[in-house]
Parts: sequence; C-alpha cells; structure tokens
Amino acid sequence: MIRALLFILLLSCFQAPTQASTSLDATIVTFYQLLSGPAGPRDWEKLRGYCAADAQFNAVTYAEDGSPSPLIGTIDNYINNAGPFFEKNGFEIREIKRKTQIYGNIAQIFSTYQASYTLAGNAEKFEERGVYSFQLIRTSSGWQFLHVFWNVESPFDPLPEEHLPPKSNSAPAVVPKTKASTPPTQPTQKAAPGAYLYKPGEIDLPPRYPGGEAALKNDLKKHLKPSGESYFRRPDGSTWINVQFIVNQEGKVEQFQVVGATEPLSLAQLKALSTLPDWQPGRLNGQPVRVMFNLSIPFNP
Amino acid sequence: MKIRMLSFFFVLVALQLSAQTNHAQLKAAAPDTADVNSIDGIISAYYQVLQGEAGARDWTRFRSLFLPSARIDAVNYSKEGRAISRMGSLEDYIRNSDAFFRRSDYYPREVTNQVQYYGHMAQVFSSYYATTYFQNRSQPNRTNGVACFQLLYFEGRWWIANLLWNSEKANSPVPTHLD
Repeated sequence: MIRALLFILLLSCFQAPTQASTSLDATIVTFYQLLSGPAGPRDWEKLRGYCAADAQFNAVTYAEDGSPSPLIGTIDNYINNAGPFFEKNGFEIREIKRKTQIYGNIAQIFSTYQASYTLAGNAEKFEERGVYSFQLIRTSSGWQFLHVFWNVESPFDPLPEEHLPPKSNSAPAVVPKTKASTPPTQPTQKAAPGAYLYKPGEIDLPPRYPGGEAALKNDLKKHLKPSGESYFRRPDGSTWINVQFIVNQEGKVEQFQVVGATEPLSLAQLKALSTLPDWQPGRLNGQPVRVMFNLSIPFNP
Repeated sequence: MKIRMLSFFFVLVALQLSAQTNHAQLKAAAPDTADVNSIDGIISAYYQVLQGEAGARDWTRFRSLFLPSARIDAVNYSKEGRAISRMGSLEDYIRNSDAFFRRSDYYPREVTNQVQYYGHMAQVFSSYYATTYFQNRSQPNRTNGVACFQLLYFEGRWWIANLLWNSEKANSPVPTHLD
C-alpha cells in the first residue's frame, strides 16, 4: 500500500513490451474476441501477451440444483481446460454492458457478457450470460490482466437490470430457465413464516437487497435513529451500529432490531423501514429460504 | 433454445481446485463472523488488521479474510515518482511487509467505496488515505490510493479472492466520490 512495503518484486510490469500499446477498451474487446470463434484452436499466445504471467482466472458456475461451484486457478489452468473445449465446440462471446473504474495505473471492470455455443455433433445452440470482473494494471506496453473472475448467470438468480443494457438496444434477451421448470422438490422448505431459520453459513446464495449493500446502508441510515447504547467504537475511533434481521422466503424483512439498543424501534421508524423495497431471498438448492442477516453500519451519533 | 452451464468443461479445473485449495487450510483459518458475513465487514476488517502502531499485525485474522490462492498485487511509486509494480501471493505479502509494520505506525482509512455485485461475486473499489510514521523520520508520510477487491461468497461467508491496489503521493487526488 505504500512504497516502503518491501516485498519481492516478483514481476515488473515495466519491462520490455510484449504487445503493442493498447487502450483499455481495446484490451477488453480483444479479450472477448480471442475467446470467440468456430471450433478450433485459439490464439493463447496472444491472450498471454495481455495477461500477467500468473494471472488469476477464477469462476463461479452452478450445478443443476443451483448450488455454486467456485473454480480457482491461473491462466494456465484456464487454457488447459478451456482449450480442449474450444477445439471441439464453436463458441461466440460478446460484451453487452461494461462499468469501468480507473485510478492511477490500475483499473477494475464489471463486464456483462452473452455467449452462445454449439456442442460437437449437436445442432442445438446453447446460450449463457454472466459477468466478468477484470482487474488490470497499466504497463508501458498497455493494459494487462491480473485478476479475471467471472460468475455465470444462475438460473435461479437472473441478472438484474443494472447489469444489462437498456432494453431498447439489447439483443434478444436470453430467457433464463425459471425456477418453475426444474424445482428441486423440497416441500419442507416451502412453509410460511416460522419456517426453519437458516444461518448465512448454511445457504448457497445470500439474500440480496436491490442496489446492493451500499443502497441498504444508505436507506437504513435515512430511517434509523438508534439510541446511544447501540453504538460501538472500533479501534480506529469510528462509531458503528449492528443491525440484525431476518429476510424471509418472500424477500420481506422480519424482526428487525438494532443490536444492543435498550429501547425498541419507534412506530415511525418501523413504518419507515416497511417502505423499503423487498429483497431477493437467500437460496438453498435453488429454493428461497428464511435467513438471519447481520450488518455493521458506520453511524455517527 | 436451451440454456446450459459450461460447468462440464470445468470439471478438470474443479479437480485442480480441490488439490490447490487445501481444505484443511480453509477450515483452519476460522474467521470472526462479523469480519466475513458482509462486504462491509470484510473490507473494514482488512483495514483494521493493517492499521496500528509499530508492531506485529494479526496475520491470523488477515489470512482468515482471504482465499489461500489470493494474489495481492500493487502499484506504488519509487523515490523518483516512477510507478513500480509489486506482485505476489498472500503469503508473499505477509512475509515481505511484516518488517515494515514492525517499525512503522501505519494508519490507512477508507474514504469511500463502491460495490458491484452479482451472484456469488463482488468487486469493491475502495479509496483510502494512509498516514505512516517511520521511527527514524519526524515527518509522517501521507499516501492516497485505491484498493480493488474481488470477493467470493461461498460456504456462507465472503472471501477476498484477489486484491489490487494503487497508492499515490498525497498530492494526487483520492477519489472521495465514485461515479
């Protein structure tokens, strides 16, 4: 974080260029182009030219029942495993939305993709969407991928609007498999309120607030007026509150409380909280479940 | 048209994952629940471990935040103001920065962050400033920067999958508002 951190210079990015200097945009476009094409070899040497020697390629894919399967590896793992697939199967991938953040010599990108592919000996066309997170570094020869991480779209958790292009210019949308088409039958979890309360450690997919955690914090800050006892101080001097609540199978919040508060929330606060949007419920094996949720929020008394 | 996941061609990768990610190691790094049950919690725990007076850092807590495979890569600047990259694994970082923390008071503070999130993956763009008091210098050193986190949600908790940061001299602007 500061230059005095003398850790080994394992790799200097400012050595001899390995490729012509390229803009960030061209680098991302090239990444997708290098993966696309009919069944056959891909130009892996060119891809390596755009990546650090030990670039990380991590992914989250999903089993049929919706349970996540993270895959951790390097560019070598990726080439060794994706290579034979591309040799046999045609695969086209394109970016449909991108968000870029740059500071100094680093960049972080959130890039939604849409891919279609055929399997050898099968005329059927398969479609897939998902999101890439790219972390890149600017070198003397252009931008270079360090950390590539993608999350395939889950059939139980369609990509939200914010990660998709505006409807008017979007390509024909891929219709995600609805949960109704292949519901793993687990009637015990379909019970109404009072159903089993899961801890975050027991489920596959955490509950999700529209706009994410930042939006949730903002909305809670607007409506909460905690009592003095509920604040706690961290070693850096900042003050925080802990809130705890349940997100039920319908995405509604139950039993909201500020941890450590001596007085219950006022009626006005409860009313205000009830105006907040519904969550996407947490899921286990693709089924919505009731989950306990804890959150720390920086809060000035 | 039918949707299918590309999972099958990753079967080999998955096998390598189980070889690579030592499960004993995953279990051993028992985290504090508050550190890993929210994105806020894990970012805040990261800064908390690093900040403090000269002395040992709680590397056990630090390790508990990361996937064992995590990379911690950085761009800093040299005395001449030239950008230099420092790349390595989580363990490289701990091994090589420990001496610095033992001799310097170091206080990084997050200014603001922005999160993008889908499925079991999140990325955080976190701007910070840091003040360093070296034992042999009277003037503190101020740096500004941005730390980019890639996070994975798995087994009911968040993990830092990779980290990339860029620190700049204090006269370079630290983003206080991220669009």
